[in-house]
Amino acid sequence: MEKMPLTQAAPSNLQLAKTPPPPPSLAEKCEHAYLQKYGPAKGATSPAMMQLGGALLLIGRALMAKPLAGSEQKADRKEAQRVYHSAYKTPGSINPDGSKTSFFSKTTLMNMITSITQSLTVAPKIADVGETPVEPSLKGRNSHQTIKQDFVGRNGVKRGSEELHRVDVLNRRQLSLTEKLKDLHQKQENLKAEIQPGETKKLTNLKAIEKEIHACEHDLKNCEKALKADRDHNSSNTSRDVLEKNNFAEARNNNVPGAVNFRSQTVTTSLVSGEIKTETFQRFGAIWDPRNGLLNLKELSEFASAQKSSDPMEVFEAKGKIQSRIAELNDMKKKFTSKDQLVLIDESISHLQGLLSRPPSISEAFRNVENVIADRRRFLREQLLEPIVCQMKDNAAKMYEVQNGDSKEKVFPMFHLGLLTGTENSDFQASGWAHMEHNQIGDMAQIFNELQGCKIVVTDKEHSYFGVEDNDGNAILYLSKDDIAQPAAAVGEVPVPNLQVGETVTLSTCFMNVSVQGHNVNDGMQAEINKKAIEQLFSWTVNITDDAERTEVRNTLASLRTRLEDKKESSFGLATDIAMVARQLGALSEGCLSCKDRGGTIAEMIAIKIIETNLKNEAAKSKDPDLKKDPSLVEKEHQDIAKDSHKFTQEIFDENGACVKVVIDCTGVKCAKVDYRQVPGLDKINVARNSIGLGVKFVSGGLDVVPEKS
Amino acid sequence: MDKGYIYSLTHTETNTKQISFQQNTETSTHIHSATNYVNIESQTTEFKKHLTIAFEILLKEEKSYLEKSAIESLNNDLKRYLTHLENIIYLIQHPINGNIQKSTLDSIETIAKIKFESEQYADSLALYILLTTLIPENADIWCRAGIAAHENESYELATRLFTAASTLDQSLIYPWVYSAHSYLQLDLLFDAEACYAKATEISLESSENDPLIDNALRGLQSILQKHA
Repeated sequence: MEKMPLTQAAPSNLQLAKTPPPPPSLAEKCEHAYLQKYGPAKGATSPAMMQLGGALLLIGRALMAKPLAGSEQKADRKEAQRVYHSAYKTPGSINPDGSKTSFFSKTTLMNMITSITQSLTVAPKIADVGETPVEPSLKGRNSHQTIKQDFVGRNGVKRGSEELHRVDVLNRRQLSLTEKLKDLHQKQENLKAEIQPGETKKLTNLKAIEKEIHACEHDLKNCEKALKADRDHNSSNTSRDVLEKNNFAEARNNNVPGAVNFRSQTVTTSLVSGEIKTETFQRFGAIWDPRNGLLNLKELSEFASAQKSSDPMEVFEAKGKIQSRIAELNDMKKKFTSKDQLVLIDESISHLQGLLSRPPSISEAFRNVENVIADRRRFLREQLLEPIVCQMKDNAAKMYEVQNGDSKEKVFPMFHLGLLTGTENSDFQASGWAHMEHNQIGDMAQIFNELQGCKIVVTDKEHSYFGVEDNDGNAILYLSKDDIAQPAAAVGEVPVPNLQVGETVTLSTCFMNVSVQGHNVNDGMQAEINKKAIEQLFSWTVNITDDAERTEVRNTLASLRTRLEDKKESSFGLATDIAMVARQLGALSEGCLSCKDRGGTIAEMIAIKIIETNLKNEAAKSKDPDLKKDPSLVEKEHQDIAKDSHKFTQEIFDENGACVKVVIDCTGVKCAKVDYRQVPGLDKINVARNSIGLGVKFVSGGLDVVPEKS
Repeated sequence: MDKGYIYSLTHTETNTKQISFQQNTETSTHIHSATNYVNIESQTTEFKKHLTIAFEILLKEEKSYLEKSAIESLNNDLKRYLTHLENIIYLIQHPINGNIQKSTLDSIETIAKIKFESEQYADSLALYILLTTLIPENADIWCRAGIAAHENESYELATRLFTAASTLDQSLIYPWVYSAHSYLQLDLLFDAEACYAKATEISLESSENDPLIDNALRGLQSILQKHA
């Protein structure tokens, strides 16, 4: 009998070869798929990413191998059409490029494919020749021109309501421009008749009038074109759409100066006593110049002013800053290389180089840049015409009188809260649309600053307009008495401004900016602007006649200053607190880039806070003897009101809420693009719910601004 | 990834481009007369670029992939399609009678699949995009287009296609998982988180158990936790 070898446990090589290898695990399969596609270099960086990427590759292969799902998956055709337009951003109107017998050669392939989809659903409207393309999704949404919402407390009692009204800025602008042109032509005729040779001042005035006529005619033409295309307001995407698919250098001049997504928001508090308290604030997008978003009025004005200074040190410092900006712009050429981007970068560099030419008093290049600055100033100021007029109508009670020598001067205070992000993030699109919010802050701060002290003359003309500038770039606002008259239905509800034709009011302006998401620090240009603005708000407190109220407001302002300057806070909460105190001092407005997401959120927070404040004040001042006897009852009432406010906060982002309806009105997306984690008072469960909803924001096909990172 | 890149996907500039279908001998004179006029202006969008590629593939490569009968059917539809396109005004006033034949859709889908399997993702994407224009109500087509865009590393476009798919069919989990990964590639963590949350929600509600989906969700969770 053979002895068994003691060491025969291990199988031979032959036996090993015959044993089938264990099947690869799922993780191994994923890893293999990933490495096969991307190679080891990319996979080695993150095992989790490798597992994820590999799994997706395998899922994709498996899914593609299946037969295509058939009719059982077919959705509603209207929904499909909406989804289709959102995904590809296809225009709804066919533009035959000037010919009524438009053939394949004269249109783009995209228009053709769009029309096929449309033909499968509903017959589209045929656009007029030369009509400005209008996004189909923006048509037919006028159901959101007026938005109403009730605030119903936990026990079912209505605590208040709000009504948002979208202002038809372009209709108003058309009327305003027509009125202005009539006046300018009259002035032109008069001057021409009386001017004598050698009267240089009158000649200069005549030239200024002719220049203004030219600008007005240009605006009126664009305005009429937009109105013809059923667009009576500047929506959140208008300035972007104007450039898209068009020649940048020409298309940018099609922008009509008018506040973007401009709405008035009236908040009504239903007091327990049965009385109602109403107040109105405004909301609109950034006042900026989309024709060139790489520069801003603040820096251009400051550079130009410094270059003209007699102080050589000031000139030298400005020169350094200008050169630094030129270097920045030159650097951008490496990153932004589309034809339109390069056109805009070169133009901006050219403007800045013009400011370096010396001596400024005789340099033609410098004068050219001054014309650019004047044009930008005009463009920005015109956007504020409707907001100023509407504020004077809705918030006449905010007007106050100050003693000026022997006479009394009427002053109208206007406060705007910007919600822009001041960091130099670049959303510079290939179309030449440069959305850089630090520049928008610069534009807004400067134009509000320049309108400080602007004279408003009440006239019997039918429509309001800004008159011709004086030599310092100041323009008088001719305010139509009709424009500020209340409709018959509202008489008695809103105080009517006690203004007579020929009377003058001085505008007092204040602009602050509080970034609410992205870069939440009060620093840089924002801090500089806010520091001055807080002082301005303090100066307005002298008009509060009640001593206790004045003290309270000043204390609040002091606390806000601490939060801004010491804690460098910049948040949704701070923005709301600032708005709440500013509305006590002047006519309030607020907004971000397009005033739908960030601006819409703040608007709702303000509305909720207004209702809460009014109800709490009523409870505190109640004449109910029971409440007077027992302060804890007031405290309990305050707690109940706060709980209702908490409920309203949870409802801000509801699909049927005012905030989201404005977003729908602008883009069709049923979701506000906000970092919900930054919204104070929003329960975690709602943060999650809303965040999930945010996942579908790309229904807008990237219509919106910079994706706001968390 | 910088935003300039993200937006370049939807604002790509392309120089004037001629589409030529001359090599296709099967197509009718209608197609020739129409296509000779095709002259896409500058500022062509990414969308148009994809459709151009799709037409080129169909008219140049159909013989490599399809049976003769399928080619005939496809060409008949393309001819009808292009004949209507010849006159835009006519097309607006007289919608195409009847949809594209199922056999045509199948033919395009077949080529798209083959292109995907052979890792020619750009071509596959172009054909799926063409299909979305023909049957926009089909969520599955949007989902497949999204996957092709994803594999082509066109992540921003992928998110839009997946959005369309998930809007049309809210029970689909794939769009959310793929979108989460796409947003990660685009450095949009907040969006990635939101998509992950939705994918998890659908996964929990679903009675089906797909180990690959579970693996993908675990990978996502791990990545998102690291960024948290």
